[in-house]
Order: sequence, then structure tokens, then C-alpha cells
Amino acid sequence: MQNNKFLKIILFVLGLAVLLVFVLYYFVYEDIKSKNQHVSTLSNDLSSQSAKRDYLILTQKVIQNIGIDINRINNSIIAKDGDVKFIENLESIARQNGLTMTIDSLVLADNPEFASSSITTLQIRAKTKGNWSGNYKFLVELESLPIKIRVNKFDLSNTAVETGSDVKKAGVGIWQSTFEISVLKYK
Amino acid sequence: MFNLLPDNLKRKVKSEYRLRLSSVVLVFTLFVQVSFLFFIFPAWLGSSYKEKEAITQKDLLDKSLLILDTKTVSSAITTLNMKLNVINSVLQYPKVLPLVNSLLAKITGQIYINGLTFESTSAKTGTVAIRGISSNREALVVFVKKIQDSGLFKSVDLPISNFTKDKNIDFSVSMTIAP
Repeated sequence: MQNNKFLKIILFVLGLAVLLVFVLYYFVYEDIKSKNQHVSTLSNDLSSQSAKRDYLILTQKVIQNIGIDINRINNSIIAKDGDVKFIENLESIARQNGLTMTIDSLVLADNPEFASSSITTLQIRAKTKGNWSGNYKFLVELESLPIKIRVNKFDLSNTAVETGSDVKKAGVGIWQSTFEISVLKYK
Repeated sequence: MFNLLPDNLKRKVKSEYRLRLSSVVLVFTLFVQVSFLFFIFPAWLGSSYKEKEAITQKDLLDKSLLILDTKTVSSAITTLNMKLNVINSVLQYPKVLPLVNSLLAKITGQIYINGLTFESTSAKTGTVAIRGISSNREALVVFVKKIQDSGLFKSVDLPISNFTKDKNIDFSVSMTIAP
């Protein structure tokens, strides 16, 4: 009888131990499963973030490499306070080509195409007076300026030639150009 | 066959046998479970290390992304795109100089140019007018023909009134530029 009771206790303890170990096994299994899932999610994040980082590094390098071009783009628009400098530059080009230059009007006009941006248009109407080659060179330099420019109107006339003059007697004379240009400018 | 054991003792023996058998089964089950636990332990350890490593890598990557300053890069690109868009789309016009050069190349000794007017109407269209003196009608006709043949202009208009005089003719030719 004593032996039987002792066996029952052993059986109970063993049963409890089996149950506990089973519970422990379940928790370990769940833990491994969740850890693996977490690792898988992190790996996916890592690969996508790594691709993002590589792309960013590449983009930064590209931006650094095209710095000169970016500067050129920035300089193709007149700075906020650069209108005076630009006009003086135009006058200087005219002087270098032996021309006298008169500014008739300066107008800031918002273009509907980029009204929302920080860029506006500066319209300049001016006259130059001098010889033919000076006016021609001025036009060449005007269209070759490193800024975004549009020649809206350009009129070049020889003021000295009278109507009906003989072709052979028509001299070099004084040439006057009247032009209207538009340039981009930061607001 | 003779029953040597009384019934109650038989039942006791049978009960003890079942208890012992159950104990053996449970011991075996426990052994199997512990073995499983033992074998699964390296996998659990591996998962833990993998997880730690992945977390460390992610932290490092996050820090490196912070250093990269994505906002600066994206804002630089956005601004640049906006400027390029504006520069490429606005203030387009047909260049004056190639037109002037082309017209000058067609002038002969019998033609004198005393005026030129250009006006751009859109990105690819515009008008050009050229004024001058021609020594005779033939020279003017040849000059205008050369302009027409250049293919630079959509239309070249020489009013008939230009031919009223036979020499030292004051003329005006109008041209339209089109794509």
C-alpha cells in the first residue's frame, strides 16, 4: 500500500514535470518564431534602407559632381539684388563695343507660367548708338550672356542714310539699335 | 490453470503494474521533451544573436541616414528641378543672330541694308523685316530669291510697290519665322 502511494506521488510529479516542460517548450518555440519573424522584418527594412542610403549617397555625389552646372543654372537667373549689376554689365558691354547706351524702361513682370515660384521677369527697353560692327558685336554678346535672356524686339537702323540714296554712296553712318529683352530674376 | 493469488492481490499487482508503466512512459516523455529542449537551444541562441545583430545594423543604418540629411538632398533636387523647368520652358525665342548672319551672307554689292527689325511672337515664331537700298530691280529680286531659298523663313514678302523705281530702290522685305 505504501509502495503504491509512493508510485502515485512519482507519477504526479512526473506528469507535472512533463506538463511544465511542454509549456516551457511551447514558450521557447514561440520565442524563436517571433525572433525569426522580427529578424525577417528587420532584414527587409535593412535592405530597403540600405538601397535608400545608397541612392542618397549616389545623389549627393551627383549633386557634388554637377556643382559647376548647378552654379551655371543659378547664375542664369539674376539675383534678387542683382538688377543694377546686370544693367551695368549691359552698359559695360555697350561701352566696350564703342556704343552709347540709353535705358528707356525697366519693368518687373510676373509670368503666369511660374507665378508660384520665386522667379519673375525683368523687361528692359534700351537703345544703343554707334557703328555697325559695335551694334553687331553687342547683339552677339547679348545673346551669348550666361543668363536666361529673350530678345523680344530688336530694331537696327542706319540713321544717316536718306531714302533714295545711291547704294555706292551710302556710307557707314551711325547705327541705332532699339531692343526689348526679358531676363529671369529672383523675387 | 490455478489461481494462486487471491483477487484483491491480483488487482493490487495490476494497479501497481499500470502505475509503474505510466511512470516509465512519463519518464520517457520527459526525456524526449528535455532532449527536444536541448536540441532547440542552439536555434534559440542563434535567433537571439541574429536579432541582436539585425537591431544593431538597423541602428547604424538609421544613424548614417540621419547624417546623410535626406531633407537637404531632396530640397536641393526639388529647387534644381523647379529652376530647370522654368529655364527650359520660358523665355524661348528664335535666336536673332543666326538670322542676321544668314541675311548678311546674301547681300551683294548692289544691295545696301540700312535697317533690320526682329520681333519674337512665341518660342519658335517671329517676324523679321529688312530695309535697304538696291541699285536695281534685278539685284533686289536675286536677293529676295536667295532669302526664300535659304529655308529659314516660312514666308518672304516683298511688296510690289518696291519696284516702282528702276534704280536706287528703297525696299522693305518682311519675313515670318515658323517651325
